[in-house]
Amino acid sequence: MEKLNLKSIALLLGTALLTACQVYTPEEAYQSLQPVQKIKVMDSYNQTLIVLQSSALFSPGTAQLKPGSRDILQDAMDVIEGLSSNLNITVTAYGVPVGNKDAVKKLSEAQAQSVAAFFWAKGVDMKRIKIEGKSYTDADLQSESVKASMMQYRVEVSLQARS
Amino acid sequence: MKLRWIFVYSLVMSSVVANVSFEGISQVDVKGAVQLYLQKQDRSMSSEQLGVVIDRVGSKLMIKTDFSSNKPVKVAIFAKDAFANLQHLNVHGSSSVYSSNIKPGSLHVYSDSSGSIQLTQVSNVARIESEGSGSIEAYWITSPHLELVISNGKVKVGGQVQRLFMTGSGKSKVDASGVVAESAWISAKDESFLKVRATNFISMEGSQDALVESYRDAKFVNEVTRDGSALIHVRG
Repeated sequence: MEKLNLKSIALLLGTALLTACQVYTPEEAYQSLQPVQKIKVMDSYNQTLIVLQSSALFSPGTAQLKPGSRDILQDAMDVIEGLSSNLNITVTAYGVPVGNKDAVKKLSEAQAQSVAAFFWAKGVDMKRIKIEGKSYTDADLQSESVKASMMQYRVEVSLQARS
Repeated sequence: MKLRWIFVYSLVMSSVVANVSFEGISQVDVKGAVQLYLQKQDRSMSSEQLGVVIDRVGSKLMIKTDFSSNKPVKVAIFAKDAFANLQHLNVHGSSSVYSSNIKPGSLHVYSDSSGSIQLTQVSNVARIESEGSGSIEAYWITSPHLELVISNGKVKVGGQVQRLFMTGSGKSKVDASGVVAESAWISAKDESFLKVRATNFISMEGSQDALVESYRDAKFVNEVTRDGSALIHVRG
């Protein structure tokens, strides 16, 4: 009888602990996978590099900017406007290592164009802007980490002096 | 159109000839109420009716009506080099320009005129800017990039380009459905109405009541529209 009581108490405690651990709803769990830092700005001696997380910018598998991406792109635009208007801008989009390499490259090019077109519509001279779309490499396929793939899925905006 | 050129030749036979060289011109400014005809010919020359002033300063050519003229004055200019160095064509007042088969390097057209501009068989048009109430037509453009900045009037263009940049505002009407573009970047606002034909990529940034009609299914579409603006896909 005493053993049974102990078993019941242990079972109750276990259930209570498991319930307490279930902090996230499925939506919250999805959100936790999203990139925390959507924009990163890095300065080196010859260039300023703005890195934007593509998962925060684009609807999956498209070059369509998400409604919420405007704020992120506007932050990038503020950085561009704060620097010399003589700098060349290279927008390079990188794809995720999923599917056909050529298709990924074409999608990346279109995504680079969407970002570049935003800057152009905000007043950046199109003659300053260069666009590149990159597919994945075989080395990227070795990575088994989802987080590493998410880091790979990005748009880089590089500002450099004209050579 | 043929009648117009017949008139030009009759003008050559009957009117005053200016003593100005017309080769190596990089800019043409037209003011007042001039009706200007530009064409290639074996001999460089001009022919104009009374009431027009033609000046050349360096490589810039200025053509304007004088104070005595209230009516449109016709001017025909023929250049042996087919205006190969022409980069800027600026049209003001109520002037009009008609040109066929000239070969400029990379032409920028600006107009705040209420007249019309017609460029036929002119391939290297890189930019058209219209602020006037008049109309502009340009065929067949094969520049790598074509930029249209239209805030007033009507513009119609045809050809084939890699990238098309269109900015529409005011009550402008732009028909670029005759231009087959690989990519089209569009910024449209106010009550502008634009037509486009892009094969690979189309991006529209629209606001207020701007309307864009797309006449071909581009592979990639980025549509950022606010207020009453819209991108409408029309099967061409």
